Amino acid sequence: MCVCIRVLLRVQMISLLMLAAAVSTGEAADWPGWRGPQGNGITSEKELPTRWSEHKGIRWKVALPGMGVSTPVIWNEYVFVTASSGNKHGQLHFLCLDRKDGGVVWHRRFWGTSPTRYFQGRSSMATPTPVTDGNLVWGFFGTGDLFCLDVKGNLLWSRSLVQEYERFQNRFGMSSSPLLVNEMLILQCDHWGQSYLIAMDPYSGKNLWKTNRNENLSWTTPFLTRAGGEAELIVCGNFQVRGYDPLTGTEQWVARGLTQDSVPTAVSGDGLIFVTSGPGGASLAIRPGGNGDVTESHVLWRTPRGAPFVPSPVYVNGLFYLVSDKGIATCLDGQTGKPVWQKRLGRAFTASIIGSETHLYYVDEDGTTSVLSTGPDSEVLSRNALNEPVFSTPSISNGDVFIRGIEHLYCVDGQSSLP
Amino acid sequence: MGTLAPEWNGHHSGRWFQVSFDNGSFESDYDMRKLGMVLLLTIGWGNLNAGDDKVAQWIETIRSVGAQGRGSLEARAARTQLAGRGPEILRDLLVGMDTPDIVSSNWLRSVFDEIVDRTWAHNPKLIPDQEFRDFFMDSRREGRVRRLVLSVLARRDPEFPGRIIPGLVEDPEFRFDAIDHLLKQAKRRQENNESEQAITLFQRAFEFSRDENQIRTAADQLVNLGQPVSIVDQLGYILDWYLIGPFHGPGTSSFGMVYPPEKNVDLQARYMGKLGEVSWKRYRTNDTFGTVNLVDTLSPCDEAAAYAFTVVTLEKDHHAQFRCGADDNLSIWLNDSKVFAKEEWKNGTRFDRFRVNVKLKKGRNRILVKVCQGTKYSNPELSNLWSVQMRICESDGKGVAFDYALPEIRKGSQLNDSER
Repeated sequence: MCVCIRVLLRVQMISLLMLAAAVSTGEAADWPGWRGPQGNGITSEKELPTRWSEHKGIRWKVALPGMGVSTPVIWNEYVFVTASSGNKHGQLHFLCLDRKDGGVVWHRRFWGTSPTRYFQGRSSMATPTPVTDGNLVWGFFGTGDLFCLDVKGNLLWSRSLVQEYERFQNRFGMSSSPLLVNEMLILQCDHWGQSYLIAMDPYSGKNLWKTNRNENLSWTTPFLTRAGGEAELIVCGNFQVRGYDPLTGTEQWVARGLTQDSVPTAVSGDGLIFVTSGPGGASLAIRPGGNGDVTESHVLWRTPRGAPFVPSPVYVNGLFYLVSDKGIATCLDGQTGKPVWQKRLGRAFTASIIGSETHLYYVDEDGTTSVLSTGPDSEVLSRNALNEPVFSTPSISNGDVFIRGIEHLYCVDGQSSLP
Repeated sequence: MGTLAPEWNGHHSGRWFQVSFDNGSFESDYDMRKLGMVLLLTIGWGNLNAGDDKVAQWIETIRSVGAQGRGSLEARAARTQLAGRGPEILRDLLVGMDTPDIVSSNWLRSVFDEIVDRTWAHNPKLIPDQEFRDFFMDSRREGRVRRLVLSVLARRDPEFPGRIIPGLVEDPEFRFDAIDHLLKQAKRRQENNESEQAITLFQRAFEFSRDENQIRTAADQLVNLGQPVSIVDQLGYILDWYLIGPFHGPGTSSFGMVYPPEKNVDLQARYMGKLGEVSWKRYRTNDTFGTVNLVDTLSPCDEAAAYAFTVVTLEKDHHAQFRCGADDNLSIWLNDSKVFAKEEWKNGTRFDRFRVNVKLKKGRNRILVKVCQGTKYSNPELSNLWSVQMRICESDGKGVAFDYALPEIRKGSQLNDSER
């Protein structure tokens, strides 16, 4: 390891120790990456819209230049979104839109190195969600290409991980989103070849560490938590979840009990880590800070009830919320795993749950968002149809909700649709 | 990554700077005469930007970016310089992008797009039309760069792709687009009850198609029009096999395990398999694309391997390709030498998933294929498929003609010398 990387790691370690909330990179009003400012799908904003329709309460709706399941990310006046199109979806699009009216601020087109298979009609090479710190924005694509641009759209560096290492072997397309934490850009590349976890200097693209994983295909994104006091990188996989030291990439613990084909991202709360996988899988609550195989020692509970295949869960005020791909929403007690309630919300779900301390948004594949109040007596407050299929997880910023359909991006106007 | 200079002055440069003065269809949308004269007077043929060493240096700087973002700082500076130039460097950028290295190509593309957009906004006529057309028509160029050029040409002349692409049925990059056009044209003829013209177009599509859906569409329509065709012959699928299995391979271990048929193909032999005793069975698939369904022909099972064996004869030595796919994966031996193995699970039997260059010899060629079967899906709704598909073709995908020479199984004997 060269001296400069050692110095950098030391600086990062100090940064990590000093910062109380190591996970956050954005303000409450921004939605800087996959699963929002805290990486858990929850915003601290209070005033959020609850009612809209295809024709009402929409500030703007714009057509996108291609397919994509990536979430739009928002920082101040900018909305960053990715898409892919063309033969094998090898044509990559990286856009910045004006959050006021959806106008294109810039649109960069790139070639993808090595398109893989993807879920025809649902996904593409633009499934990973970009991430921004307000100055720079990083976009990763299923073709193995990673781009760093400034907010004006200038290319600062790019890498082709498949050109450097090995082409991805993935039948639904690489889906893991980059995670930006304290001067590190972390990527999980699980596939049928050699899987790995990699951390890069976000400003130069240089490797900080790279850890091979004894895993095959998964579509999940790493999650950074300080649930146990120390920063831990939680990375789901096939049949197990592993905890890594985010500064070195060293594996610290493994907990078995997930199923094959892991997709959802972990969450944490009240000193626990929550993971889930399906179909036919289970959810687990795990105490952080373990070492080695912690399946027997640190798994507080495990339940198959409501475990989804694709949508990621949220954890709010002691309750763990899930929605299955077949439309059943489940609420479990965070401490015991016991069911609190279950409701049918829609026909099918791919998008993950997002929300706030008071409201949760469940967007089904038909484009209908069910808005639920949080808590043990949760109610369905409204159902809002866009009449366009949605497979992408929405984002929230400054009271607006951004929903990506298969062809359009909608900005649900927080002001006009308040109750 | 080499320097740009050889490409500039090499085989492309002559055509690169030719300006067409006599094609009326191009004349109206672009005043090439003026630009051509200016270029000729200024710098002469074939040497447009050779005098501008800085452009070459900047492009070379960008082409030097490497792994882990190496060279990005220098590339940024070079990019800024290039972006400050005008349409006169577009051709240089195209040549710079004509490389398999996509990372550096993307850097140059970001400059190319910026200059094209800016030029388009101010004076679209400054975008070099004939040079772009020449680049587009050069099938030795990188396909993705040719498509980029096509998109610019189409911006100026929306009818251009429709005029040019139907003729590109043998172009490796645009074959699919050309066949797509032919099929649509044929369908329109068919709907207008112009059967003869429709048959001619469908036959041309069938002859040149290398895409599963396109050739199937063409074949189906020809059958409907009373013109039966054989996809198997056209693409060179292998139909006749001996099969044996399943052999036990816990988890995904079967790929690395060596079962008896790998050591010696003895068509008389019997072995203990995963579900009991196994022996070679003669099988001829009647699938349109030569797929052998091992679940149906051998047995449904997980965590196993099976083998398929055939002997084909050719009239002369032949450099050819095996194009194949299997669920889950396959290894291939040609005349007892392993020519392919790819460990990839749960990725399906797909048309031309793998391509393997091989040299087939005159006379008999023994082909042995191992097909692995992985673990059960966690989703009980998904059945564990197990199949293989393989064809012998030229490098452009057209089937190679061959005969079968599969021996009959005779009790108590192995293959004799003539059969080998």
